[in-house]
Amino acid sequence: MDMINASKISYSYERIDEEGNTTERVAALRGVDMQVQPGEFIAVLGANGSGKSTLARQLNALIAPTEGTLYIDGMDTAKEENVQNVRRTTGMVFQNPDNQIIASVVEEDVGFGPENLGLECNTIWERVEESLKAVNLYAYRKAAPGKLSGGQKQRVAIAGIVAMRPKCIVLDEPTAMLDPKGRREVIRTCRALNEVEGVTIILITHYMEEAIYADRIYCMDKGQVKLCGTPKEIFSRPEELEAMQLDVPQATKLGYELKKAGVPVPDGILTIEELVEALCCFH
Amino acid sequence: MLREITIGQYYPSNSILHRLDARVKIIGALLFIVCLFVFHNPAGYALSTLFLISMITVSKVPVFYIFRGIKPLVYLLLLTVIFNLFLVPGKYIVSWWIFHISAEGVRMAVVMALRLIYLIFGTSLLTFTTTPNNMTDALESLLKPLQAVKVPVHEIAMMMSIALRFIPILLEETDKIMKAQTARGADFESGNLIKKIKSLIPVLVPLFVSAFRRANDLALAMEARCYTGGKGRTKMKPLQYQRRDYLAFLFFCVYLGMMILTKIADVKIPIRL
Repeated sequence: MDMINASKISYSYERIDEEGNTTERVAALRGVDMQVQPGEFIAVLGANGSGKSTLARQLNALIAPTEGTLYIDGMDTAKEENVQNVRRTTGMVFQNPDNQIIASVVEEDVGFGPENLGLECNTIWERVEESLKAVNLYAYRKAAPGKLSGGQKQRVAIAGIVAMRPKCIVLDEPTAMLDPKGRREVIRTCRALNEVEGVTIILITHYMEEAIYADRIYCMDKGQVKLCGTPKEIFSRPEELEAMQLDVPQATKLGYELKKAGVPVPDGILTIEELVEALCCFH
Repeated sequence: MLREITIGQYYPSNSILHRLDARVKIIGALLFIVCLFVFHNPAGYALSTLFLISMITVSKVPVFYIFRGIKPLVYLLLLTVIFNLFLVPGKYIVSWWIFHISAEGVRMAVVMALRLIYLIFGTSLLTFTTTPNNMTDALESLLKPLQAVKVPVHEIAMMMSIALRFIPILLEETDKIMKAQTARGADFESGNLIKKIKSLIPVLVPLFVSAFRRANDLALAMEARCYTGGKGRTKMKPLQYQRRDYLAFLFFCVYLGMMILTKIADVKIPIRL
């Protein structure tokens, strides 16, 4: 069964004036198709306002599509009775770490989700321990979230989701407010969860460097999926990406420019290491 | 100014008082306060003093910390003393122009000051030895009976703990906004009180906007983590009375009993200084 199966989903926000009349409809999603298999690592790229956050909220049933259908692990998110189960299946990590941490102690925050699921006290503690270890923050379990760095806070938020044992985790620009070190920590944690625990990861980001580890990339523009493919396929089309106001990773860009200038480097170079290797082949 | 208020602050330590169940401490503090107001005889005050001193010693909270709690309330204290001193009628011992001080006035002034100070000591001892989280948990558990009359106890406790979590974040944000506005030429220092209050508007507006945005984000995050209110929720750290809590209850009962004894023994003697 597909983890995520979206067919032609659309969603529009309504702008309502003071009398409660709809004055304007802003379409955030226009017929998005998305199929994700269990265990995949998916990156969703897009400029501001491309609809990627709206898509993320759909996946967690925070909003339901106005048109089209969305099945999460076989459950229709438009049906009210499925909402809680969908939220158990797909956890969601938001952009601002401060605004999603509920408790004043790390371990209590991680325990918030399991508490909501109505688990036994012992089970909650087991899960809290496990998930704090999974994000490498066990030593900080008694700390106050306010005292942690941005990357650590975001990992606490991830641990809070992991403790609910979702099959899929949606991260909505988790690194947008972090420094480079924090970004690396968070991405490493995501990859570890994907590779070790087999959790499906949907990473929404506008940092191209973070997308190169993904199995597949969806590129969104104006509420539609414009490109979809492996990182190599996507990043060998820098011109199309540029039209969507997206960049390619620096190494890819350099490779592309070199090729245009007549140096025979292969297409779709993603990391600096690959580029170095390709260039060293000439000697 | 905000930093001077020690009421409501936690003093980390590992004393018996710190380890007691927060519910026991809340009940103890309430009992102490009620006793202060019900048993106003000298023996009662002596006993209260003894109780307070022993509690402070056991708590291992430095005494000057506890005394600092009075600081923000010094004016209230002075006001009470002055009013009682001059306005209580009785046999005047000092009279000058329109000011008269009666023996009853002196007695009342001392009693009221003592009461207020003990009240502050008792309550700040509670907050010094109890983390805010334990406090909200305990309140939730103590107020649970009110659920029968449709009081949303869990929701109130949840709001309290979220408020506590966001106080430092919002303070930091206030600081940031004030600095940003100062950089743009705003002046928070000069002018009279009204002008000063008016100059806070450019701080409050963005602060409120951001607080609402945060609230919205937090609500989404809570919903995404399957929060649906208190129903069907379990506790990660359920409150459970230990042996020491029962002992503390016993101790409180002894205290109450002795207080009642002082009242019975003292009842025939009119209270005089």
